[in-house]
Amino acid sequence: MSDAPKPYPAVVALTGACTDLGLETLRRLSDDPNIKKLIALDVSAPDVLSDKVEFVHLDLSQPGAGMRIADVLNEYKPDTFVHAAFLSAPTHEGAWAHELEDIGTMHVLDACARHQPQRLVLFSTTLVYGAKPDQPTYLSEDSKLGGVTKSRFINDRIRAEEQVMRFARNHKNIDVCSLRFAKVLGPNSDNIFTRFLSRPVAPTLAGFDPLMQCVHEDDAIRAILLAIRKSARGTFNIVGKDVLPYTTLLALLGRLPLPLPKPVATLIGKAMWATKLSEVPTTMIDHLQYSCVADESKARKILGFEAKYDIRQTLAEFLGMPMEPTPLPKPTTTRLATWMN
Amino acid sequence: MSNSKHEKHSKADAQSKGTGTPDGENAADWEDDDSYFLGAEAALPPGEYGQTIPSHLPDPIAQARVLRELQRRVRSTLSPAFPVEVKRPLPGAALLASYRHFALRSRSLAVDEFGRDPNYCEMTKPALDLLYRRWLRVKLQGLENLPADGGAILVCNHTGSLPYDATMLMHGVATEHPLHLQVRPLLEDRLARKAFLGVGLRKLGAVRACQENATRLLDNGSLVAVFPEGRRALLKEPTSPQNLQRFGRGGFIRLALKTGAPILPVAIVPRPTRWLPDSAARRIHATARLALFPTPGPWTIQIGKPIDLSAKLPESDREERVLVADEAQQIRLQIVEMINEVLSSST
Repeated sequence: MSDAPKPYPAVVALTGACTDLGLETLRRLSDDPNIKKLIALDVSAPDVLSDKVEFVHLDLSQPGAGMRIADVLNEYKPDTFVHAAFLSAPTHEGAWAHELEDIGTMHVLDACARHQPQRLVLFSTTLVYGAKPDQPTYLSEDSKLGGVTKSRFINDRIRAEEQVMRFARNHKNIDVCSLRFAKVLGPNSDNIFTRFLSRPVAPTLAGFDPLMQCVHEDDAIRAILLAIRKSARGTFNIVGKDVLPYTTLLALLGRLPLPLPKPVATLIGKAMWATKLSEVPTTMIDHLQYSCVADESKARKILGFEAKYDIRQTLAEFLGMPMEPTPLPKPTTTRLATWMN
Repeated sequence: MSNSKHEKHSKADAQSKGTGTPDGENAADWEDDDSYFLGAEAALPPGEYGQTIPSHLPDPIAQARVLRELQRRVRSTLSPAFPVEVKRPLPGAALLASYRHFALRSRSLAVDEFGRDPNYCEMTKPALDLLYRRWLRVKLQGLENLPADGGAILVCNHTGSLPYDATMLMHGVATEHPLHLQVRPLLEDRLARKAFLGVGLRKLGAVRACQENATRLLDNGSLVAVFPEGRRALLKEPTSPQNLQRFGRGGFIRLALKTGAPILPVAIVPRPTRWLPDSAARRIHATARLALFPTPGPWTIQIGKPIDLSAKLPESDREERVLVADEAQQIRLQIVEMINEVLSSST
């Protein structure tokens, strides 16, 4: 393990430069005067106006992708590699998604093992914990990656994370950091959650009301930049302030809840997914039944990350009507002081 | 044709030199003839676009957001490859907006970190009060033993199948204690995952029982109520509440040692049914259990003196599971003693 502080990142390579988070990272990094060069790897050129950005065509789902990344690493010698090439929503093309996410991560790690950048940052999601009834309410980074049975979308992420963890164990000289984001919402995001919440009616499971957690896209980007600049090691949950029950979240967004028993909801969901009427597969129905909430304390302590937006503000920004933060009910410990005054 | 165009140009030029604005007759030509502007634009030196317009947007992030939104809209009109509108305007937006007000009327905009809903607590208060004062006629004793600040573990005995005991303890402390302290009962898995019941109890302040949740609550200075008998409490003879079942695996002792929180034994004693023959009492209790409703009170809830385990059990002995189990047994015996005391004083 190297104890000397790593120099500030100067050359950054980023896969998935056209994803929401990847593109915004690229834009913010291009404003940073310390960064000399940005290598954007994707299937199409990212939409960034900067001389620093160099676009290299790379299709991670192709068999030769590993060698191509190695060539890029050899040519530009980046000190930081950001792996953001993950799908933002499930797709019916399961085999292709597997090639892109799981095997794509393998290609990236193979190339990184050969050319050894100083840091590697991976984008992940808190969905990898899965929503299970026997979990603690706040999941720490060490919790089991339960995922969702039969969900390719989640299981590919879990496999990518496992590969990265193994890589981190074998290459102690590289600062490997994976960031698990809660549901990313915001004015510019387009992912599974924004699509699910954009419809006027949302299904709920009758009798269940899990706690939900979001992160504003701006907070997510700030966490990414912190991870790149601070050379963080390990896994971090990146979540926004505060939780809300699912039905309250729907009420805040003005969506009509449609309570259904679980078997009925599963049946309708399967039919809608098969006919491409819905963009969320039924395998993720557990998330409407049990909470999947992650604990942010490690990111606060080690990364110094503090979310700016609470969940109500995030939802309001998603709707396009910004609001002030809502004051929270006072914790019990301060009650004594208020009573005595 | 070209001639006429030239004429138009010269005419327009003359006008711009003379009056500055074209008259009404030629305005249409002036608008759709792009080439007219070429001269005017070329008058500016290349790379200069006049004075900078100060933005009314507060920060560069907001400016970037507006720019990006404009960019997105332009792109979506240029190519069908880009998703046209991610956030489509919803049909009947005004109706949904008024629905939003309606839906938020009875909801708390903020719940605490384990999902306790203050509005729901207020709403259910009259019903719980009726149960507490009229049906079960709960006598709550030993409130002065509760610490005013900082966490504590209330170790209670269990009565019945549904957690009426936890609800009454929660309600009693919240209404009768001068500080209106919140007790957070830990629910066993089977109850916490039940449809409707689990959510309702969570909104009242119950939390799923596990070490992580309990540690978080105690670190925040909450009062945590545990029922270590768990489901085995159903095996008890309803006529003899002092026969407590085994106290779990001593998880609450480990919790107390880990967080340094004091343990308060709590005896929850339903009405002694000595005036009835045992068989009749059993039948009444069985019927009540089927109806999922408790038999009428009076109940006595006795909160005992705090026990500081960290003083009692030295650092070296904390890994010894035998000693931990023995501590749990000591507390169990103390609760049995408290129950016997209450029963003997009531007859």
